[in-house]
Amino acid sequence: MPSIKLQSSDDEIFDTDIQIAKCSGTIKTMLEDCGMEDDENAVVPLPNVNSTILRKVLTWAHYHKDDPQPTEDDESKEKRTDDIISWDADFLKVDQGTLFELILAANYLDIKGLLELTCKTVANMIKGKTPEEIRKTFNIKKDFTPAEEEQVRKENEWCEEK
Amino acid sequence: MGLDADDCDDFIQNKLFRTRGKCAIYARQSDVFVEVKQKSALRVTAPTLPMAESNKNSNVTNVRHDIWFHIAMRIDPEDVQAFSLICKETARLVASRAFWRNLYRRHCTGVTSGWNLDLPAQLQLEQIRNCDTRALRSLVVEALFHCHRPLKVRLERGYHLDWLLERTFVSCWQKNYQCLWIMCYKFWNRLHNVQVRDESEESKVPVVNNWETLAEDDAGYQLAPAQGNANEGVVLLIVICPQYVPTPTQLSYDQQGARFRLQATRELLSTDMRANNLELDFAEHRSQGVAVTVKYPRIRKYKVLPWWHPDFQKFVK
Repeated sequence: MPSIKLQSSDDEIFDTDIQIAKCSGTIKTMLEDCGMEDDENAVVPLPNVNSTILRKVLTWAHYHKDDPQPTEDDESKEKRTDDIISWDADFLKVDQGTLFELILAANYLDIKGLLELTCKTVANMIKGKTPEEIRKTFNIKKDFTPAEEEQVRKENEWCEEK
Repeated sequence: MGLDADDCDDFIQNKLFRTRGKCAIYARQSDVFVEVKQKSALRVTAPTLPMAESNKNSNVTNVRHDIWFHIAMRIDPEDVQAFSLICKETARLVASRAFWRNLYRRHCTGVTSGWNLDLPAQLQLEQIRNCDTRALRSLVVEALFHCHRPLKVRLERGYHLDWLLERTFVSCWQKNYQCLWIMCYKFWNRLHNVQVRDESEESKVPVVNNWETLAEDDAGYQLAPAQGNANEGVVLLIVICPQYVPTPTQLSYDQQGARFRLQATRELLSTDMRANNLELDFAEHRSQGVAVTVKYPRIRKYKVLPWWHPDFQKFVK
């Protein structure tokens, strides 16, 4: 199996199977555009992903290497948030900082499946909670004035269930 | 050409004097040097991007805009309000065009080239594509109540009278249908325009003794034009009853004078226990006491229709 070297932002080198690395649209484009596929010593720099996150991303990519690539039609379909498989659910039992970093890494590396999974996980954490509970879950400061909050509440009152 | 140390000191003193102390920091040529810094051999383990910055002192997380953006694109319609109320950043995202386009694309686009047979013509993709963001938002909300199952269920269950409480009464009209009277009440969830007029504009308006001028003013005065859907925030109460009940004179004002709110409602069994009576209590905005009570005996039915309800357009005036 041909492999490729990926360099994280903190200079750790990950020797990775080229097919797994190509789960990432960003890496795939870099390999193809720069003609690095045939160069065994080529190093792909990933300055926006640190080694901890890159390791997690590669673990996920290794598990899902045989998954079909999502098509344009799949993207526009109604997304369910309750169809996360148990391996993925266990994989994402991480602290919130790591979860948010995985979202950004998946976006930077253009891995649609991982981006979908991580965002769904956060969406599920939000589901059914009050704004106050959500702020508490994510340690977020409330920055609304009472008038602003009331305005936003009224604009979205169609969501309310009474 | 180099300067020796004494000349350099003099030059600096002169410069300092001529600039009245503004040029206090001045480097000698000999003070400037280049040093090659050795890279630390230790591996840096801190994350490269401050993806979710945490303020250690206050234990508050600042989630980056792009993270919220990606999450916003996966939020279910019924969670939109809670999401928008997290912080200003999420509220801004929910007010964006991209958010509503995404919500429509995920839940309302049909399988065949965008056409969705569950939607009326005015809510099809082609119709809503070019409207402004506020109009787009209200059209997408209406479309969601046609397409998204959890919201459709809410429509089927109907809205309770409590939904109307504390809303501003705007107007009332009646229709006669066969032997029944259909009484329509229009309520609004926004008080701001009314309050602004009460508190700030009234004091600026000069006193006019000319009745004709006053009449012209009334005719010309309109609420600030709403962008997008003018009916956003409006809820109708439709009461169907066999007996005509005239509107109390206190409630016969034009839209600009709106000063009553619905304070309480009562659905009571009639004395023969064969029908229900409906009572509506109206109070003035700054008062707790009931100003007007309207009683509808032996009603056949009532229905609360918020602006996103598919039947709303049939009754709104």
